[in-house]
Amino acid sequence: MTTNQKTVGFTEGAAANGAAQPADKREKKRNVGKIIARVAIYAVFVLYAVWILIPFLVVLITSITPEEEYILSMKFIWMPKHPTLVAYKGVFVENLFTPFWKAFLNTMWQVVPSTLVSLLVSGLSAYAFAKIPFKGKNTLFMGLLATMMIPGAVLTVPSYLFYDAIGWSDGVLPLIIPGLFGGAGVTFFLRQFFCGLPDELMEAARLDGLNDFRIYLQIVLPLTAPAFIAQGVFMFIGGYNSYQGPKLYLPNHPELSPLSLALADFQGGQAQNTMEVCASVIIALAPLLVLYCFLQKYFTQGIAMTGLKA
Amino acid sequence: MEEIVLDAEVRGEPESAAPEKKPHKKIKQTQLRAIYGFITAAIPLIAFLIFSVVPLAITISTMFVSMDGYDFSTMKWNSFANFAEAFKDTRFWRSIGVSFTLTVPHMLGLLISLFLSALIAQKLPGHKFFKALYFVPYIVSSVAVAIMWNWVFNPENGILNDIIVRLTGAAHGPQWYKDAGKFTLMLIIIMVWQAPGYGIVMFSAAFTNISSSLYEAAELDGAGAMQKFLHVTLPAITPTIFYLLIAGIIAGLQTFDIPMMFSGSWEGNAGPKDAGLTTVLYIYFQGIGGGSAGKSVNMPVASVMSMFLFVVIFVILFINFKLSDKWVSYDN
Repeated sequence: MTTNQKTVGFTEGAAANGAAQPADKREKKRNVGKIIARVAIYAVFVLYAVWILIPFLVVLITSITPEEEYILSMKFIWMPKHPTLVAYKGVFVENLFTPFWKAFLNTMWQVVPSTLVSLLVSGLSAYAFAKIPFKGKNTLFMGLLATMMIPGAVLTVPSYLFYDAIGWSDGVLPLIIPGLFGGAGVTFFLRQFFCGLPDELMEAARLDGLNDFRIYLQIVLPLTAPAFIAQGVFMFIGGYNSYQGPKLYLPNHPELSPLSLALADFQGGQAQNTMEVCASVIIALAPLLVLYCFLQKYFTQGIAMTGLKA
Repeated sequence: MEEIVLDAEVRGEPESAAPEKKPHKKIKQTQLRAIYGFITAAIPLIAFLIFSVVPLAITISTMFVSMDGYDFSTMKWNSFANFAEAFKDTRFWRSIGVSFTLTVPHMLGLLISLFLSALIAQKLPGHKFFKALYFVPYIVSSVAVAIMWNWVFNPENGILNDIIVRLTGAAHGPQWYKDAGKFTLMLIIIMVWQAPGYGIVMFSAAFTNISSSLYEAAELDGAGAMQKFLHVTLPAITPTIFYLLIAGIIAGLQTFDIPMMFSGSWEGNAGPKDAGLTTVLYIYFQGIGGGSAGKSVNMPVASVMSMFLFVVIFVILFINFKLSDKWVSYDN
């Protein structure tokens, strides 16, 4: 942008060679306009940032408000007079190993292993689509595309009916098992990625005596690790945040509730302390936000790549 | 199977003493490869068959029967009575209206993300920080979003009404949870907060793919910033706009989490005058339970409604793709 600006300025300067004075004036005017534009852009940036931060700040402030102040005040407290971490202590320390902490562990074991398996299996399938010649590939590929056309919400009731028929509707299996077979979207995305790898690489490995499975595991996977991480991050967020599934299949098993469902129940519960609800939201958000800070580029890469190619 | 392929490969490698045997092995090996390829490629599709196609088939068959709970043995042909029940249900049509209303925040999100990404693309110092910040709502769970916004909109002690009261001097702020129109507005505001993060990432990626020579050419023609945006940027990103438009409509029509979180406590209704009753939420009430106290589940009617939503989404997709020829250009 800046370099472009400069080139334009240069050519214009050359064109207005004879009249140096007006060109100088114009340059000045242009600079003033540029500064105004910059200020306007930053103003928009900051205002929008405030808008994004408002709900977080509201919850953060409420979470450090002492209970007495909250009960006495009949309206929103902008800044508590005596901020306190009692609510965090309540959620974190006193309830240790009771609902909240356990819910976090539930989320972890329900989401992480199935995400990893799903990634590996999707990659296996994607590798076959990208690099192994076989009959019926086009048909399978059309099928893969078709699976991505069905909107998930439409399947809510059918799935429930199906899992009930096979006796899974009251437990954690529907949340874990289907994912183990990989996902159409991830497969499609990884296939695009693998197609970009040179065929000579696979041929050389095959001449060295590696079979396709080992080529995938030992050569393709390490080479395309960023793509896997980007997709894995996305699947993890999806699992960490998923609410409808647990709500459907785990209402009778509070001991299996993942964080999202526990949080919703915590908020819906009658006897809950407002400050503790707010503190638990902050605590529940923290792991994802920390992950986001460290893996930021994978978060956005995953979207950019999938979105543009899908 | 792997071992055999490996063996053939290894044995075939040393300059073969029996050259006439080699082609035979080669054929066998490519066949095995093909089988391996077919099987591994098909794994996600097998899951799709089991966990989506079979349920869909069951659902379609339940559309034509009456049924006790989820008990298949009580299935009884009832000649399209489920269709009559679903389509005469005023709450169902209300829910379709609510779902379409909730595509609005996605459309607004599309415009906001286009505007913000155009500003981010100016690459002023700090633009990366703001871009990263704007994406945060996308990774926050709907449950957390609902709880957080509850403390913004809460009529008694939320921050918004406090601001409104201070500014207007009114005795109390709007009753966000009691008035249908205000409730809808609240849902839209919350979803507009959530929506743009995804679009910003998509548009930013699309911008970087536009060749800079196009801009240089436009500059030589004397185009200003606005003209460059209208005549170079906008035409080049029509595929992204189209994709986000479709994704937004589909996401809007499938809204569940936020209305569910805000509507759960109403007796039999989802928000004031069912203002939060999206189609998916109503299907959930019909097929799984909740929402209308004491009413037992009606799976066949829920099936009809699910399939109707499916058809609606499909028709909208179809129309959009037909219309897209007129304004989306894929050549870059």
